[in-house]
This record gives sequence, C-alpha cells and structure tokens, in this order.
Amino acid sequence: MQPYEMTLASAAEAVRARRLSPVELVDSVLARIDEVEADLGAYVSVTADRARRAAERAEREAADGRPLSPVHGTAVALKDLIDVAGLPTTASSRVRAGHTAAADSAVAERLAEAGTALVGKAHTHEFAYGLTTPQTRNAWDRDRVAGGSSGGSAVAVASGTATFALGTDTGGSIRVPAALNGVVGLKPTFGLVPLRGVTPLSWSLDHVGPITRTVRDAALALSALAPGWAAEADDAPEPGGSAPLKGLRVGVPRNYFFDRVDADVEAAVRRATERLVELGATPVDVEIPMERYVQAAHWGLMVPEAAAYHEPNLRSDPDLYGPDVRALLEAGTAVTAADHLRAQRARTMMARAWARLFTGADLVAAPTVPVTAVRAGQEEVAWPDGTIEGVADAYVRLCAPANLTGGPALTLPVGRDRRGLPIGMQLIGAPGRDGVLLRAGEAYERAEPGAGRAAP
Amino acid sequence: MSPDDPVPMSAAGAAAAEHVRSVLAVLRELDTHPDLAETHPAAAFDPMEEPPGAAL
Repeated sequence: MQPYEMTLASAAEAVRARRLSPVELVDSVLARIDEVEADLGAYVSVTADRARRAAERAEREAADGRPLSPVHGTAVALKDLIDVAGLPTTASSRVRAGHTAAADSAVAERLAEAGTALVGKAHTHEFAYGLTTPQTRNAWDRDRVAGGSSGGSAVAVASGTATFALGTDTGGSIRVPAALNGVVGLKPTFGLVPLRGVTPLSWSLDHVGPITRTVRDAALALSALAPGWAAEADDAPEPGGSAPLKGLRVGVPRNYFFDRVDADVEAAVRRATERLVELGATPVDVEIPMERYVQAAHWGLMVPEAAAYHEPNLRSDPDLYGPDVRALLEAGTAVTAADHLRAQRARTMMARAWARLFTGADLVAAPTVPVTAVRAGQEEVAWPDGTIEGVADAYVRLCAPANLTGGPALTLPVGRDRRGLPIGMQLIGAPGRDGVLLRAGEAYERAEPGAGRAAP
Repeated sequence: MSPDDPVPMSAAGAAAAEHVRSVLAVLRELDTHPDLAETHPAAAFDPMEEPPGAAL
C-alpha cells in the first residue's frame, strides 16, 4: 500500500509510531496528484511547497516526542470557500479574481495547529451554489458528475489526492459528493465547527465538516475541528462485541426518504439498515414530519440569504457569475420578507417536530441521494411515476431536512449500483448527537469489508 | 444605479424568480396552522446558541 492510500487513522497512527514520516506521506500524495489530477480536476491550486514545509515541521514535532493531535502529519485539502491566510479563496468564481485571504479561517487555524499539511484548495461549485461541481469529474467514472458543491474535496479524498478534506454543506454539499464518490461525509451539528473565514451561502443553513475515507476518520477529523467535542460525551451505546449497537433505536422512514428513489439505491440502503439491526439495533418505524414543506422552507431561507450576500456584486459585475448561479442570485432578490419569515417559522415547526421524532429513535437511516452519479451535462432525472426532476433538486431533496433541523447527518458508502457507482446511506441525528451517528457508522464499517479503499 | 433600485433581473433570473415563487407558495398553508402563534422565526442564530430543536 502506498502512503496516499492510507486512511487518516492508519496514517496518523503510523506517524505517531514513527513508522511513517509526514514528509513521505505528503510526497506520496503530491505524486498521486501528479498522476491523476489532470484527469479529475479536483484542485483549484496545489500548495506543494507549503505542504512540504508543514510536513517537515510535523516530522520535527513527532521526533521531539511531544503529544500529537489525532490528525498530526496528514495531508488535507480545503474546499476553496475556506480562507487560508495569503492564499486566494476563489470560490471557483471569476468574481473572486485577485482575491487573497487576509487571515486563516477558524478551521484552517485548527488544522494547522493540529499538525496537518495543506496540499491544496479544492474546487467547489461556484460559491457553493450548485450540486455538480462541473470542473471536477467523478473519481469512479470520469464521464459522471463529482456532485457538489464540495465536489473537489470528495474527489480528492476518493482518489487519494488528500488524506482527508473539508467541505461545506448548506443543502447536502458535503454529503452529496461524498455519496457519489463512495466516501464518508459528515455535516456536524450546526455551529459545532466554527464558520469564521468560510464564505457563506446561507447563514441559516451553512455547515463546515470533514470528508474522509472511513467513519473512524471522520470522528478523528471532527475531534481536531471541534476540540471541545468528545464522542464519549454523547449518550450512545458503546461499540464492540457481537451486538455493538444493542440499545440503539434506528428510525426507518415510512415516508419521504424512500419516495422516488432508484431501486438499487433503495435496496442497498435497506440492506445496510438490516445490517445495523443484525449488529443489535432496534428498528423503529418513523413518520417524517412536514415533508410537504421541506423544499419551500429550504429555498425560503437559502435563496434570499445568498442573494443578500452577493447583492453588491450582482449590481456591479453580474456577468462574472456563471449563468446558473446568477439566475438563482437574481431570483433571491425578489423573495419577499414575508416569504422569508414564513420559511423561518416553518423551520421552527420542523425542528420541533423532528425533536419529537428523536424521542422515539436515536437516529434515522435513509438514502443520502435518490440516484447515483448522473452523466456530466445531464439536467433531469425521469422517475417511473412519470415525474421529471432537476438533477440539483433530486440531489438536495433527501439532504435538506438535516440542514433545516441543525442536527448532524453522516453519509457512508453502502454498496454499488448496477453500473458499479457508489451508493450512500445517511444517518441523521438530533442536534448534539454527532457521536451517536459516528459510533453507529463505525460499527457498520467494522462489520463490512473494504472500507476506506481509494479509487484506482 | 441607485442602491434603492431593484437589482436588474436577466431573463433567466426572472424565470428563476417565478419558479422560486411557485415553490414558496406552499408555505402559505402554514398561515392557518394551529401552532403558528407560538412559532417564532428561527433566524440565523449565533452558532454558540442552540439550534431550535436542541432543547426538546
């Protein structure tokens, strides 16, 4: 196995044990970038010199025998919405030509302090306002979309051109590309990971979180991003033993999450849910509340908030935006205050209803997205019931509820469809219960072979 | 252009605005919801505060 293929957990452990030099790991990742990046287009910029200097510093710190963070010496990519002092934050947009970040974002500071090496800034769908990241190709099939908006981050992790990465998630933008590329993505509880220095899309809905090759890696990354968070603080069943999920109540939705879902996706997620039951969990039938209002509540928040942030540039330089993003931003300027407040009140109702749901279940298991990666350029999905749905709408549909409630949501790979494309299952939890999802996901991962392999 | 003027709308933007309006229309059903009086807007809150559902 090459160092770039190692999971975050195994690489960090090898660094701590002095079996692996951070310089060797970063060189392996940079060589992998040389090998595949021209094909994949995951990166806006590769920061090779910076990464090597950080790796040399990490190596000295490891040799000094000081206590090391759980991610020390590993190679990280940051979605290019996340500020790093002295580097551009392009947001993959011409609007940001000439930009330089004046200061590190909170997450960049924390990861640098934790001894990671930044290998580059990863492509995003322009300003995070889309679900395909057209500059980037799927790690498993170059003719298919990477997903978005954190497409570059997900493809970098899936292809081995980063040990782990950060994305942002406003309507699925960590979970969608993670699912489409067969990796793990965590949207943490709202506010658990600070957003200072991250370009906003929608202040009410934005989250920043890790994309990794395993659930164990996601837990390690979260511990570095949110130092006050500890998995043990969550009231969750302990892993281990033949029934590691004994006592865990898994909500199985009877509505919404399995409506208009590809048959292979449904079959894989139901099998994975049964696996959780085999591992000791108790299935609980749940009714998803207010399903009729999810899209409207989500749009009623995101669309005007995004427009408010971009209004000055929409006035001065509208032609610098891509046409899809410009149209949505312009539309946001026409949303009335009354409709925006309706969406805010709908969100309050929805969050309360989901909180009642979580009195009877510890998490909900559902598909992350209703279809696997579509072909590049495909704009619509045709469902057997005769309805036609835009690709972006389809990809957001099952992710938006967790943005509205503020609770954590974790996607993990649970199989392949008939074309060999990755399928993701998401575990959705109550606010503050990130540890419950991570423990359940880790237990599933330990019971299933092949977790954490990079794409060829 | 005065900052008081509406942001100029392209043809694509106008079409998108119409589509957004049609999607948001369903929220008006909640105007007669029995819980509405006790339902305050969940405005973008300081991340140090709890999300609206966390206390329940």
